Amino acid sequence: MLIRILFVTLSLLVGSQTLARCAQTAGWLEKVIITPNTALVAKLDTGAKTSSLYAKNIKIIKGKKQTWVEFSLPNRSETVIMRRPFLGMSRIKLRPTETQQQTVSQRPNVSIEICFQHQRQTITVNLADRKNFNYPLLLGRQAIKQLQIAVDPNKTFTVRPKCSRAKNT
Amino acid sequence: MLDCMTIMNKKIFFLTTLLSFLALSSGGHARPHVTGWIENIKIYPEQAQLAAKLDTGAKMSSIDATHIEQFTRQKQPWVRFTVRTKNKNITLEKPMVGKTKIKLRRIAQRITHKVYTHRPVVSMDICLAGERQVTEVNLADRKHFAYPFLVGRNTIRRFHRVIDPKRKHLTKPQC
Repeated sequence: MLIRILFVTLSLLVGSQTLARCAQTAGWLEKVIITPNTALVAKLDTGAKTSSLYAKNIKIIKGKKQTWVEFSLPNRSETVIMRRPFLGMSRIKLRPTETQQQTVSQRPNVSIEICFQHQRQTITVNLADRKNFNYPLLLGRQAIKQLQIAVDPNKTFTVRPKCSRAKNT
Repeated sequence: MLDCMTIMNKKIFFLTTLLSFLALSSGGHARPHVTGWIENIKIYPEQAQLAAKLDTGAKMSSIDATHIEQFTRQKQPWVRFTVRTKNKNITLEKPMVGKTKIKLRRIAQRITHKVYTHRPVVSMDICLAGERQVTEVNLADRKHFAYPFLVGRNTIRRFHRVIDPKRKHLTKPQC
């Protein structure tokens, strides 16, 4: 009897461990919801360290106590205007391959809350104002590490984003 | 998800048969399909080792090459190029299997006054994580980058791998 109980508890333990381990993959493209309600496609890019969000009308507003960044996100028919605390500027190295010279772009950093698969996570992104992009959110290694996942280039859109109520921030 | 269930069932099956073995296997690295974002690879037939960055953001693999020269051999297009490996620079000659058309970033367009750039594509025989595969690679002058080989989605798919950005050098290029 005792051995039997041991068997059951152990198998449950190992089973849950294995499941938790398996749940740690995502496709290279996934749907993401930016809090409160902006759904967009994210590209998971292990080649990039930081994450980028493509936004329009990016303005840095200096307040008395805090500096803010205001930007708009195109969301289907409407445009969502967001205002987040300014977290400094990022120097982004641009692909020098074609130009044969190093070019650097300065982009403001903000933190955003995302719902990815079934988890909510606050990530830092730099805001890029670019017209021609394929994917509006690029998740780099820092964000993928936070999400605790490995990226499978064979898959896309594996899990729809569904998270419990937003944290009150 | 489906293979995860199979793995789980297998584990439970093992458990009922061999308790001690299972305890070991669940504690160890039971994820052979995971690769870090930086790995050493080997190119064949030269058997030269080089550092590679596994980039799920890139559609196609690319190798840092200099002195890229196209020529004709037996009426076929070939390309000669030099790659930077762990120990030395080596010059390779390979049949050209095609060209990629890459849209330049706007900033690059402004500097070069071109919208597209073309890169020669060759087939390369590589060893990654104990497995050998032939994959298409484009030749790019990436001399400003830290890793001479960029493994794109086309190649990662061939090796059936998932990339964990928390890990580096998880595998050995021994084939």
